[in-house]
This record gives sequence, C-alpha cells and structure tokens, in this order.
Amino acid sequence: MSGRPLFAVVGHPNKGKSSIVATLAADDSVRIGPEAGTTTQARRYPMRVDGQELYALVDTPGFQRARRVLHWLRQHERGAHRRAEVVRQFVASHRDTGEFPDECELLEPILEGAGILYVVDGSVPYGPEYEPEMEILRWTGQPSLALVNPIGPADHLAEWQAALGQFFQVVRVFNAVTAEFRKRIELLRAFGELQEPWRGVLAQAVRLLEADRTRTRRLAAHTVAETLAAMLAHRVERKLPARADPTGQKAALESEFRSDLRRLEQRCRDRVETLYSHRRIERQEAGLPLVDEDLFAERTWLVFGLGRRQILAGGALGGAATGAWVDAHLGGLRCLRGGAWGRDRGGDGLVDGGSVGTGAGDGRAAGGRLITAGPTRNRNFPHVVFNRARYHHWLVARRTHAAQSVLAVRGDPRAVLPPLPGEELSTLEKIFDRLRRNPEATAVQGELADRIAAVFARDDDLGDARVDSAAGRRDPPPIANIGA
Amino acid sequence: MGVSAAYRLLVAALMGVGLVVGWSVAAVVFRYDGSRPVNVVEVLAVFVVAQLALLMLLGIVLAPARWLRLLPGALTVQEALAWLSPGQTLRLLQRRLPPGVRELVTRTGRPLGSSLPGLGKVRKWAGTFAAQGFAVAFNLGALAGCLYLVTFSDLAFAWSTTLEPSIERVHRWTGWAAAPWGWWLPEAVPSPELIRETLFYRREAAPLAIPAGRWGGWWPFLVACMITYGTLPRVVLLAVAGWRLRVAMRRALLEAPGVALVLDRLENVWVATQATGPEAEPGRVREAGSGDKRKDAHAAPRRLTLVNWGGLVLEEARVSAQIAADWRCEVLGMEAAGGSASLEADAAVVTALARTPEDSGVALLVKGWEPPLLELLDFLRDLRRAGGNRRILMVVPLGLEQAGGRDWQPLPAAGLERWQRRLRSLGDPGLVVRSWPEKPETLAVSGGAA
Repeated sequence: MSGRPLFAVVGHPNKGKSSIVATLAADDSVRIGPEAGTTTQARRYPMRVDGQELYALVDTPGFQRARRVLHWLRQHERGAHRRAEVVRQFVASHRDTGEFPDECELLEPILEGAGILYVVDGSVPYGPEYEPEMEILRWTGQPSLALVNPIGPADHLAEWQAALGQFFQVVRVFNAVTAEFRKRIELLRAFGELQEPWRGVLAQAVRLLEADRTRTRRLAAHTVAETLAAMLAHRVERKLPARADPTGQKAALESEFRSDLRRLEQRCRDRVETLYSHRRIERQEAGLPLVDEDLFAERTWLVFGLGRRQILAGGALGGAATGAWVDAHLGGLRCLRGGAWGRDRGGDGLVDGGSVGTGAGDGRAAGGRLITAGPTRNRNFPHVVFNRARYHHWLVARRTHAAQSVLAVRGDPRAVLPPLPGEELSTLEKIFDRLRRNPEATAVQGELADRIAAVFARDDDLGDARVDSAAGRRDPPPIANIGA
Repeated sequence: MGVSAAYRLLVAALMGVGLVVGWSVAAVVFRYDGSRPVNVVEVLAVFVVAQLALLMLLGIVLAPARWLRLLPGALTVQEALAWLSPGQTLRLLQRRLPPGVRELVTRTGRPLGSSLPGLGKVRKWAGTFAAQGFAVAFNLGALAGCLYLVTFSDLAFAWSTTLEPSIERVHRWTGWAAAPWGWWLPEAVPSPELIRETLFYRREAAPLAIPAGRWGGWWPFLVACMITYGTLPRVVLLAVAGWRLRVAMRRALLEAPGVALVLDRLENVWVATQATGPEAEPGRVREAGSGDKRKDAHAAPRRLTLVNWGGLVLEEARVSAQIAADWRCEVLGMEAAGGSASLEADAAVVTALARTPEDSGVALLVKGWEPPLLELLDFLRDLRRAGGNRRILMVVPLGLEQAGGRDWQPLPAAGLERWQRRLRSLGDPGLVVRSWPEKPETLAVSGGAA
C-alpha cells in the first residue's frame, strides 16, 4: 500500500456504483447501464494534481456469488483476528479459477488497503441477500462507508438505515445523478473521516477541487464573453452590381447571418461543456430568437468597387508616390495600423462602405452595392445571448457525469435563476456598448468575463430549495452519520 | 528567415538608406561652388520646418480618435494619411516584385498580417520604429554631411527670401528657434548684425556683399537646429516606438488565442479525476437463438412447486392460491431458497424439488427489481441437473410490492426482457420467464427447440 487513500466502490450489481464513480470522478466515459454486469473489471479513477496522485476511486463489479464466498470464508476461518488473511487467501486461491471473477476483482483493491464505499439503492426494499456481501466486507477489516443512492422515486431509506448501521461506520445518502458539486465535496470530506491519515489528503483534495471549480467557472465566463464579443461584431456581406436588386439576396444573407450566430453560440456551448468535462451531452434547446429589426444595412461602395489598377490608373498613383516619401518619414505611422499585408478589415480595398462615407451623390460612386447583415444593433440581443449562456452554464455546472438524460436548455430560466439587479444590468449594458464599438478590445472582454464569472459564481451558490422546488425534485436528507 | 530577423534586416536597411539619403540631401542643400552662398532659409525649410510638419502629422496619426475629435479636421487628416501609408505602398510595390522575392516577402509578412487580437498595435509600432530608425539615420546622415562640408570646405551662408521680413523679425524668429540652447551656447544664436550682413539678393553679386568674417556665422545655429528639431525628436520617438513595440508584443502574446489557457495552466495546478485508461468491455450474455419473445412457448405445467427466492416478503397461502387460480394449475407447495438461506438449505430445496413428479414444474418467484445474479443461475443449473431435462422451470420476476407485500405489481416489459436476456445465457430450453400477476405472458428464455 502506497499510503495514498484508495476507495473501492463496491456493492450489489446495478445499484449505481458506476454512477457514483462517474459523478465523483467527473468522468462521463463511465459505462452506466441497466444490465447487471456492465462493469466487469475494476477501473481506477485517480485524482491527479500535476501528475501526482492524491487519492483514487476504484469502480468494481458487483457481488454475484456472495453466499458462496462467505461460505468458503467461514469454512476457512481461523479466528476473528485473521479474517482479513482468510479473505486474502480466498482471492489468492480463486484469482485464476474463473469461479469468482467479480468477487476477486472487487476484493483485491480492498486487500490493497482501500476504504470501502458500499453502495445500495435506497429506492428498493432492503433484502437479506445483501447481508452476505456486507459480512464479507466486514471480514476485510477495512474502514467503510455506506452510500444510499436513491435511483428511483420510492423511499426505503428507513429500513436501509437500520440494516446498514449495523455494518458500516458511516451511512450517507448520495444521489449520484442529482448531487451538486457541494455535495460531492461533502462526501469527499466524509471519506477523509474514515481513517485519520487520510483526512489531510482529502482536505487538500477538496481545496484543490474547489479551486479547480472556480478556475473552470472563470474559463467558462471568458468563453461566454468572447462569444458575446464575436456575436456583437459579426456581420456578413455580399457585393452586388450597381444596378442589382438586393431584395432577393436579403433572405439568403439573413439566413447566413442567423446560422453564423447560432454556430457561434453552439461553439460556446460545446466549449463550456468541455470545460466541465462533459463530452457526451445531447442538447435540446430552442433556436436563437430574434436578431434585429434593422438587420440589414445597405451601403454604396464607392471607388472600392473598382479594381486597384483602375484606382491607380485614375491618378491615385501620383498622390501615392508623393505620400510615400512623406510617409516614409512619418514612419509608417498609420501604415501598418492594421493592414500592412492586406489583411486589414477592408484592407482588400473592396468592402466596408462604412469607412468611406455614404452617398452616391459625391460623383465618385462607380463600383456597386454592398449589402451587409449585422452587426446587430438590437440592444436586447446581447442580453438574450447572455441569459441563454447563463442558463446553459447553470445546467451544465450542476449536471453530474452520471446523468444520461438530454440536456434541455429550454423553459423559463427565471424560474430558477434570479434576475440580475438593475445596477448590474446597467453595467453589462455599458460593457456591451463598448464591445460594440471595439469588439477586439480584450480589456473590455476581460471586464465582461469578470462580471459573468461573478454571476456564474452566484448561480452556483443558489440554494437547493429554490432549484429543487423549481425542478419539482427533492433529495432526501442524510439518514445517518455514525462515527463521522 | 524568421519574421524577427526579417524585421531587423528591414530596420537596418532603412537606417542605411536613411544615412545615405541624409548625407545626399545635405550635400545638395549645403552645396556651395562659390557662385552663391548656401541659403539658410532652404536649410531650415528642409531640416527644420519639414521635419516639424511631419512630426505634427505623426502626432495626428498616432493620436487616439477621441483626442482628434477635439481638433476639427484632424480625423479627416488621419483617415487621409492612411491611404498614403507605406503599408499600402508596400502592397502595391509587392505586386511588382519578381515572383520569388514576392513569395519571400509574403511568407515573411504573413504572421504580421494575422488577425490575432493585439497584433494591430504591434504592426503600428513596428512600422513606427522602422520609420523612426530611417528618420534618425536621415538626420544623422544630414548632420554628418553638414559637418563634413563645414570642416573640409569653406562654406558661405546667407539668407534670402522673397518674403523680405525685417531684420528685427528674423532676429526674433531665430531667437525663438535658438531658445533651447541660446542660454548656454550664445555663439549658436545669430546676432542682428549677422542677420543684417548676410541678407543677399540673387540679382546682386551676393558673395561680394557678405563680409568674409560672416560667411561661416550661421553654421552653429543651423547645426543646433538640425540636432534640436531634426535629430533629437526622432531619437526620442525611436526610443518611444521601441518601448511601445515591446509592450505591444508582450500584450499581443498575452492576448493571442490560447495564451490565456496556457497562462492559466502555468498559474494553476492541473487537476484531473478521470480514469486513465479505457473501460473493459462488458461481459457478453450468450445468445441462444433468435426467438427472443414467444408467447406460450411452453404450456403451464398442471402441477407446480413454488420457490421463494431471495426472501420475498409474501403471504404463502394467498400467493399460492392466486397463482393456482391464475394459471389453472395445482400448487404443490412453496420452498424458500437464496437470500439469507444457507447453501445447504438451497441444496436441500434442490433435492426436494427433484423428488417431485417430473411432469410438475418449478416456479421461482424472484425480486424483479434486483438483477439476476450468477447465484440464481447456479441454483437453476443445479435444479436442472437434479430435476431432469423434461421439467419446466419458470422464473417469475415480481414487481415491487405495494401495501406491505399483499399486492404485487407485474414487472414492466423492459425489466422482464432484461431477465430473459440474462437467463438465456444458460441455454436451457426448458426455462421460461413468466410475468405475474395480471399479465399471463410467458417469455421463452431460449430460442431453441422447446
């Protein structure tokens, strides 16, 4: 035994062992299924901090022949003080026989020194067939904790409390599918109570996980801020000949604009989910509503409709030559301001009518028309996007990795998320304005991200009562806490 | 060649060109062949007034838009200057370069053309720095040319302009110009006498009109002007541009996509809790045929022994009577196995069941909400071995009981099918999964011949 805490999650098949491991390890790659025997081999889930293992969870197969195992153990018993030795002997003598593969697999980590996390389903009745399992675990002499994982709606907690209390030091209720981060942390702390030397390590693990959670939230806020900036600045454009009718083009342009915004939002969703280690979420949500009443801007592009050669031929060459000398002296000042190599906005000399003024009446209009969709000027738009992102983040942040349901980003977020105070809304509005003016201003994006992170943090701290009442759900309270 | 090296080369080249151009311009402006003196006004126009004008334009270009809004027309000037920029000129020139050179320039410049946030300022200050390098070199070249001609030739300076300002006014102007050094370098401040005596008109025989002692009287003033209004501002600007370029580079790096993540990674420990390897494939249940679900694959035996498996809480008599009625059979009795019973007790039940008539069946009432364990499968195997191949074995998974175990729910179809799939692994054609109560539907465990 290395001295690092190790916890073996054991129990009857199909009682949510893998779900608990998935939730505690934040790993949605864990295979969870209704069939018994989904887990066939023990699998380690180490918590690593810069590569150094702090503790590890081990998901194990369920007991299949507990009575036979216990029968064998009793036949070979040599006194209570040598029971663990007998269990070790059992594993050694059956490891390669294929007779008790699941029991050997689940007992091995315990014999390596793992603490026992015994999982039962609190929504089904207690039965005497569990007793041989619990007795075997008692024979190992390892510190143990029972987790009642209520998979279904029925409530049999009282009978489980009575039974488990006789076998385990600590009994806790932990719903693997609905447990929020705070509850996961509380459970980890409880693990630390199983053995004195583990307490410090688990306390350190909790601190690091909490810091990591804050960091993840901050990164999520940055992702949302970047997306908002990108969406506020986004536009699509199309060049048309001077006499072309833009009416037919507008629908296609609008569609392109909308799908671009949608794609940006989806990308943000994906990134936030990845930050929270959710890689397999199936989402359902309503499409991004509204964009803008004055979605389209139509501008006349002036000399820019002409080719560069034409511009030069038009006499610009003389001016440029004169300017070259001046500019060489000026120092390239404006020169490379954004487009020395032709990648500036409008640097190809063809677009961005906005920068060249308007109107065909100045006698220079010659090129054609430029129709653009966006950027949206609707003042409500960034708030809509932000609120959708906020709701999505809230759902993702509290979703456990055992949850297999579709993530429904719909409904009224106001039912669960309190509205922002007026002062905060006003601040956001000002930041959105600044972003509209300068979408690439990273300082503004950073400021927005900080604001968003603060909102996300408050959402994370929302009381369960509000959330559960909105979701029509209630997690049962802990039923016993013996010796911890 | 890297961008950095290319840029340094460009700056060095610009400075080399600046030196040559500065020297050449000085050679032209200070040209004196004895026929006409060097016109001080021309020297000041080229090396002071033009430089100050360019500095003013530079200020306009560099100034933030919000400042320029306070100065009418300044924004327009700024926009106009953008179209005279070397950036634009470079692109025009680039298209006329030989293909190989153009490719090199394009490749070298590509990183600068990137749309990464923050690179705009890098480009701006990189350009400014390069141009100021040129300008400093230009001024140094001009100064060197001037000092060379002053030292190694005899120059005659005078001044002439069609504007014909009064001597007093010119003296006042030169006094202002010489203010920065006049208090400690009085010989570099033109005196009224010098101004008066060196005024010449081209129509007159100028060289003869200027006293010989005054020929070189202007050069200290001119050199001081070139240093103060030409070279020093450019040196300061060069230093500022270099500083701003470094700042912009640092910021651009910090603002580059992904850098936040890298910095975040550097500042924080990396916490991972996930599994380090893939999960083992689940155990496969042996499929024994394709007939997954067949109603009434087996007729219910006329006599039946019930087994309470796993300690179901039920009223024996009531359940037996109800099953007998539902299935129209005779229930011979009910045994208990599994659960908390010992293995010896299980063995005794198997023995007892084996003694019942072979045409009677055995129905195991099991907890449908629990998964079928190998322990149950072992029991069924033992039962088959002891009871013979002709005996019908039925597994009856019950749904969760209500009202204290007096009423039973039929197991939902999905649960029933899970039991069927699991028991199929035994490959026992005489084994069936049967629903009870309410849904007298029999599911054949095996697809094989019954």
